[in-house]
Parts: sequence; C-alpha cells; structure tokens
Amino acid sequence: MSASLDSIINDMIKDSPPGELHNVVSDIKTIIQDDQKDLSSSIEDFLTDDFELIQLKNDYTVISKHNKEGSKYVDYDSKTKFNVDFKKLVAIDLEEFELELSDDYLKLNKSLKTYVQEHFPSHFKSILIENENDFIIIILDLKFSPKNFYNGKWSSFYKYDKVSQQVSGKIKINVHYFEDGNVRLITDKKLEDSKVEFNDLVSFINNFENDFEKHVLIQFQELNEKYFKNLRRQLPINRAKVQWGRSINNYKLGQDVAGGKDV
Amino acid sequence: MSDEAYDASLDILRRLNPKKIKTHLNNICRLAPDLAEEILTSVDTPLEVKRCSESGKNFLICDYNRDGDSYRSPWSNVYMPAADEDAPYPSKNLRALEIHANDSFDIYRDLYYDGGISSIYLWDTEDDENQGFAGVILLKKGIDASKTNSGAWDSVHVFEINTIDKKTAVYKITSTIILDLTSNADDAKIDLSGSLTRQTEKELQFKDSASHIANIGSLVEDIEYKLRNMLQEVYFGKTKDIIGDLRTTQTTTDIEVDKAKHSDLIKGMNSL
Repeated sequence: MSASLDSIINDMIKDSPPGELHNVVSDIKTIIQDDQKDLSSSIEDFLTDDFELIQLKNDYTVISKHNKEGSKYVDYDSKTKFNVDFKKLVAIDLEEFELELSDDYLKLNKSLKTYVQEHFPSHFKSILIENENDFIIIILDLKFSPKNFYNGKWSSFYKYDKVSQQVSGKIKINVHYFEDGNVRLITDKKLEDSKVEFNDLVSFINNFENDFEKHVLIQFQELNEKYFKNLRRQLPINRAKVQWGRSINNYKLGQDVAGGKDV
Repeated sequence: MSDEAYDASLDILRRLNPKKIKTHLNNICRLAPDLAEEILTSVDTPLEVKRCSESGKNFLICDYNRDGDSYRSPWSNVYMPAADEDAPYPSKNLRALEIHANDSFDIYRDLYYDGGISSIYLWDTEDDENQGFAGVILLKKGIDASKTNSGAWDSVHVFEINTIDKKTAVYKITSTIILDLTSNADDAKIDLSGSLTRQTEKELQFKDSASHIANIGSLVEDIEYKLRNMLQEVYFGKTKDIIGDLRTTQTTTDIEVDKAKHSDLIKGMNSL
C-alpha cells in the first residue's frame, strides 16, 4: 500500500472518538479488505499523543510519550516498566525496578492525587513524571457509556519547569454522542507559560481547569441563544404553523428574496 | 464491491469527527474506489451553493440535481454550466409541481429561517406522476456574525411518494440535519458539530398533485420541529451532562455535603 494511503489510515485513526478505537480499526481493515494489516505503529502514535489508560496489575496507568524510556513505558506508582500490545491494548513484559523518588515528587504526587480524586468522578487517573529539569503531570478521566450512545474523555497535560517555575500545558475534552446520528464536541485550551510557586501548583491547575470548564458552559449558552436559535426558529414569528397548499401564496415574502444573502 | 466494506464505511463515518466528514468521505473513496459512487450518494455532507446565471438567484446543489459537473437550477431549470443533451429533466407536469414546491418552501424558509437558501428537486419514479414521484428538499442557513463564533444549519429531506389509491398515498421521508457550531472566544476552541437523522413514513389523503406538496410541507415542518428539539437537547443538554461526568467544578466532598443537606431538608420537611 502506498505511503499516501497509509497516511489516510493514520488520519482516520487519529480522529477516533474516545473508547471506539477498536471499531475504527476494524472498519478500516474491512474497507481495505486486509485483515492482516498491521496498524500498531499508527495506534501507538495516536494513543501516546492523546494519552490512554492501560490496565496494569490491579490498577490502571497512563501511557504517553513522556513516560516512555527506550521501548518501555514506566509506571512510577507501582515502579513497573512494561511494553504494550497495541493490537489487544494490554500491558505485557512487566518488569519491576528500584527507584528512589524525590521528596518533591512524593509531595506533589500526593496533592495531585487528592485533587484528582475530588474533581474527576468517572474512570480517572493522574500520573507524575520527574525529569532532570521538570515535572510532567497528566490527568485523564474517561466516561464510556455506549448503551446510552455516548463516550467522553477529559485529558490535561502540564509541564512545570523546576528552575524558572513556569508551568505550561493543555486541556482537551472530546465527547462523542451517537444516538440517531453522529455529534462530536471537541474543545481545548492551552496554558501559556505562567509563573507558579511549587507548593501552589496543584491549586493553580484546579483554578485553571475550573475556569476552562465554566467558560465552556458559558459559551454553550451563548451558542444556544445567539446562534442555534437564529439558525431556525421553533415557530414562525406569528407562532402559527404554515398554511400549506394553494393559499400559501397569501404569505408575503419578507425583504430577503428567494435565495437570500445570509449564507 | 463487498457489502461488508460498504457497511464499514458507513460505520466509520458515524464515528469519525463529523466536522471533517468531507475529508473522510474522500479518503474512504481513495481507500476503496469501488465504493465511491454508492457512498457518495448515501452520505449527507454540508450543502454547497451555486449561482443561477439565468435567474440571478443562488441555489443548493446535491447529487439529485447533478449531471457530470453540472447542476440544474430549481429557479430556471437550466444546468450550470451547460450539461450534455441527455441530462435528465423532470417531466413537464412534474416541473410545474417543482416550481410550486420551490415557491412554497421559499415561504417556509422565510418564515422559519429568516434568511438562508432553499432548493427542491423532484424526479419521476413512475410513468405517470399521479402514481407517485420522489424528491429532495434542501435548506441551508449560516451565521457568521462575529469573528469568534459561527453557526451553520443544513437540512436534507429525501422523500418518495407512492399512491395506494386515488385518494391515499404513502410518504416516506429520510431527514438529516447537519448542525455546526464553533466558538473561539478567550483562546479556547469549541467545536460542536454533527448531524441527526430521522425516518418518517405516513399515509395521508390527497386531492391532486399539488396537495402532495402541501402534505410533504407539513410533514417536513413537523420533522424539523422535532429534530430541532432533539438537536438542542443533544448539543446543549447531553454534552453538558457528559462534561459534568468527566470533571466537576465542585469537589466530590462538597457535592456529598450538599446531597446530605438536601436529604436532611427533605427529611425535615417530611417530619413536619
């Protein structure tokens, strides 16, 4: 298969709604009529960019490009390195290791876990990664409810520079609703470099995420009241349904003539 | 061409981001060129606008008024640009009905949409249009009032009329509304887009061929009313609830405290 067809497949995988990757992959294989097509590397790219929960021992962890060392992913909570079978989406080749976590790591991880516990009600997980110069925080919360025709995902990513005390990051919400149709909400917001004391980091994140969530809900109201309502009225201005039939010509057309200009 | 591949194409288009439906549709056609024709006729995408140089009015285009790269204008019955000699036209009687349908829906459009464009195309399914015919009703409206936010609505109603006897006909309508809303305020990007589809089948009385248009008109009016309510509920109700399932601005402890207070209050009231 040519490179450009592979890139088409890659684009489709990247556009998968939360919780439906396996459906998308199976559709692609049926469309190209190649059941054996190996899509593991596209799947790995997508999931590690977009973050994904993977079951590890009796808990879950997050896979991302940031907690990958060599060919293995690292879970600091259980001090385990592992590979992922991207066909089955399971952790394999588990390997425990010894690591002395810093005091700052333990302190930040504790307040992060408390925060996540308090604000993310569904299938949530946070991970903290300490590098030489920075801390990386990833938060995920998944709500899959295919029986009720929806799947949703919250993800946030933050990078905190230990020296400059600057934090940057991004929040993304991705919701798919599919009863009698296909409706998608994708919303994201970037956090530009902001200076925060180490001890205030989690409460800063809490405020940033609260503000974003409130902003989205306010914009929903704006889109509903100023846009949706002006696209098509619920009833004509005189609140009466149209008199269809020959007498319809008794209506006087408004100022905008047929094939109006508003499009 | 396999049925499985066709079904998988429709399935994947119900999953991938509807905002990019045209790109995904073209990509599927590249992956499986054999499927292209059937997929392109069975998937609705946001409608495109063309100008009728005969009437000077805009019209909406779709597969049903297309011949090659030309599209028939509902206002002048002329293909833009000119089509081959064998391009299809409705029969003389059906064209008269098509004019009446376009005039009627133009009034409907004005009353409900206060702007936008409508186009109706009819085609013969029987030798005699008294036994039935088919058609498509297209409506489009866009709002781009500010630079940060925008909205677009596209309705596609494909219908078929089959007369049972001289007074009764069965009306089958497949309706899709594509709704696209975008907000870019305050550096946060919100894309809320997609479509809902509804099938309707109804048996109604009719007098003459013009009364078919009246019947279709009130059916479409009802369907759009219902779909509009469904869209409002899904776009602004369900998605908001799902966001609340993913993250709460209140802490779970506070939510529990509120719940406890609330149930105490109810207990207190019940014991009064």
